[in-house]
Amino acid sequence: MERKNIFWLCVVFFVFFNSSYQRGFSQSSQSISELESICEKNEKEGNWLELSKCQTKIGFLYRDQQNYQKSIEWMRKAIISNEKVGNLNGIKNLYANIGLMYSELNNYDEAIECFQKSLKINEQQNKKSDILSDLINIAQAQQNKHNYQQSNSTLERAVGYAQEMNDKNSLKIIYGMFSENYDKLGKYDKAKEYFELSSSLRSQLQKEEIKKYEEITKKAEAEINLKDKEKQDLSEKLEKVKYEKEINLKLWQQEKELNELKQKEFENKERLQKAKQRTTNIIVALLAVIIVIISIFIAVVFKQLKQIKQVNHQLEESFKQIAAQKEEIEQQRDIANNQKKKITDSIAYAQRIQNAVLPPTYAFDKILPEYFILFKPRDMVSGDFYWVSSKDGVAIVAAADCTGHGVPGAFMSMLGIAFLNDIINKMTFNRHILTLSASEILNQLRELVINSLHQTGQPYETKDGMDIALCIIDFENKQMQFAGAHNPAYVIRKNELIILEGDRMPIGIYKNSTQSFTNHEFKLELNDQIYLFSDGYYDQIGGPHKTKMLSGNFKNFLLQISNRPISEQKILLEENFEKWKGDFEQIDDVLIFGFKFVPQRISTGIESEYLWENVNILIAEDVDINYFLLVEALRPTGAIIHRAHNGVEAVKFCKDNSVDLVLMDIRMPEMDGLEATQEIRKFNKTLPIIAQTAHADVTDLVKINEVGCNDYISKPVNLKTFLSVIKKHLNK
Amino acid sequence: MESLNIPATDITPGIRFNASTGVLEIEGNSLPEDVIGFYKDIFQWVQNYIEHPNSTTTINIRLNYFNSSSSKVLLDILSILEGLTDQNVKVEVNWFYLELDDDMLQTGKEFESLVKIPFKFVNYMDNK
Repeated sequence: MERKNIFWLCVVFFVFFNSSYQRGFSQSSQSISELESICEKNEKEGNWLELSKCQTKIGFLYRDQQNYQKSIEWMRKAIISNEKVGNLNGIKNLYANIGLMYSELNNYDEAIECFQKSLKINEQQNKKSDILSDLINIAQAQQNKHNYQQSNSTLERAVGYAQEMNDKNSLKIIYGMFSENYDKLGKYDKAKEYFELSSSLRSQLQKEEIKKYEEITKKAEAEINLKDKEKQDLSEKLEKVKYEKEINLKLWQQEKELNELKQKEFENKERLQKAKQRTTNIIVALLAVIIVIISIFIAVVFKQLKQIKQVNHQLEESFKQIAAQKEEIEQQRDIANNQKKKITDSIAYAQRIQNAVLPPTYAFDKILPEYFILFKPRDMVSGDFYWVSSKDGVAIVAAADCTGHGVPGAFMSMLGIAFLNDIINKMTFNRHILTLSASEILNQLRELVINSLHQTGQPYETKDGMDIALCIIDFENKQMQFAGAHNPAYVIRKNELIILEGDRMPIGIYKNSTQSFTNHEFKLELNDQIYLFSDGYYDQIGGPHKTKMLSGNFKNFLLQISNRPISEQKILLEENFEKWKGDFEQIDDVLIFGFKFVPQRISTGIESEYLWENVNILIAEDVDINYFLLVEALRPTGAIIHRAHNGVEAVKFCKDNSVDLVLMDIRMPEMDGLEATQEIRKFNKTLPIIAQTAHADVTDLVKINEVGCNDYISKPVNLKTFLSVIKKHLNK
Repeated sequence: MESLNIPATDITPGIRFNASTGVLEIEGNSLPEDVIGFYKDIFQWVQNYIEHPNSTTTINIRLNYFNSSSSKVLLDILSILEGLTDQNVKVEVNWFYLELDDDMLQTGKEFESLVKIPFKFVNYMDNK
């Protein structure tokens, strides 16, 4: 419908613009046959211009009869005639008309060709309005041919001309055609946009038309008033105009309704397209997901099939490997167990050495009639140690706590014991015991520790050392000296606690290592109870809230139990400790050394029972540590010690010197103990020879007996057994 | 610089060293078997910290128990932080000790005498 409308509008439009030229022919009243004879006449005379006019007239007559074929035939003849005289205006108009007829005949290709010929001439003459008509006609033909894209590009050109000339009518037509084209191309939004442009132009034009009519009406009315004579005609004219106005109004209203309908249609189409698009999108997405899932599934299945083979293979390999690893792990476990056993054995041995070095109970028994030692190392060996010595009615006791615990602590404690022995021996040598000073002992001990550990006080270097509490008790004068490195001494006298504070510096390197320790002098009263200890007891974490016991609680507990017998105190302290500790692990070594000052003159320890001054003892021992242990064990007896490093040396020494007893190690280089004993027996049948052996079994013992040893001791030595065995043989 | 956070165990202290606030907190017990092993990372952190210290540095020590080897390490850490005073960093130690724990107070006093960092002693009640 719309397309046809536009087509006829174009025709009308074209006719309108070429009216002057056409009028001459269309209004002719001559018949075709008359005109044909005029044509023949003009042809003969070579009167080409007249011929062309005549031929054109015939063409138009046929056209009016809608005999387009004949019309075209005649117009083509007219073109030929016009060409002879170069009448370009005539030619282009003829082409345009032929084009229109071809369009009517649906022969769009021919139509376009004709329009283009017309266009070419118009372009040469730069007749813009004619160019515009040609372009619109071409676009129309292209549209009819369904060449919407081409039609659009032709229209693009036409728009330029129409805008240049502000030709709203043409613009309206062009926009309408754009809208049609886009509609066909499925670009509904564009189609809608152009349709709206076209509609608005149309309504604008119609409004203008109405206005124009209104003006005419006014003019006519004025004329009615002015010219009564013409009133009749004019009133008719008025009627006519009014009528036309009404028609136009109706038309306008119809157009408007139509436009609205059209607009709705576009919107629906758009909505439908969007919905379609959405559905398509969903379907595409679903398909994509399904394809991906299937691909993954296939990939996984393929991979697994491949892997199953591999895995089977790998499993076999793994089983082999696991078997191998198991074997290896078992081997390593055995190695680890062995090593652990070795280390444990080694530490157990060290424990026995440490026990041997710690003062034997008899040493205390002689010095302190009433005492207890609560000694609970955290590990097998201890960083805490106690020490006792006596001379000329004076007892020296100490409780110390070395840095660390376990093996490292034990190393320090061995050093401490050895140094203390050394210091006391040097101090008492050629000097009266009463010149001893507790603080001086600590000063010297500190110096020895610093020197032996090569401490220089550099930052980050080892600050190992020990805390210690040391007392010298003069029983005769009821006087006690005390010096402490960090550690105090507690004295309980009649339910009252007296604290002798130690200095706040350690035995070891310290920022002020040259400052002397303080020597406290304290007058003892009978039944005073003195306690020396390390911090391990009251620092133990435990109790309901896993906190430290704290020294305050320790003091209170000591006061609570201080009127109980001293041996019972040890048990109570131990119970209290275990109760506090509960499930928590012991965090440090624990040492409490307590004794009562009772009226008993003290003898100098070992001397009565094991005093062997001027007795010569030969120790045949190749291993230094074992030798020094024995020396240390024998030191309190005052015996004179000699050493042989092997059997040969032992035999030679016994031959050349007076010896009272031999401690013979069995395993020695060059000549072992058994052979050496046999050799000695060759020249000395009575000399007591005591074999010392580790891990002795029955066959060993038989051998020892066979070669002539008097007795044997097991290594590591138990000090008390050791001394009693020696005593037995010396007394014989 | 990242903060250092190590949760406390029965035998190792809780560490909360915050570089952006300059608050370094140690609390709990310190008696690890391998002291050097435990404090190695802490040392490293402190070494890095003194390169980019906060303008004020507060060290809160709230220890219940520490063994003698930990004591050495603590002193070493404080010695490193002591160097900050030369960089015009305000450094202080808050030494917390449990009510009645005179030993911990004494130890704190001893630490105070060994480093050039001002100490504040704060007595606190056990909340447990």
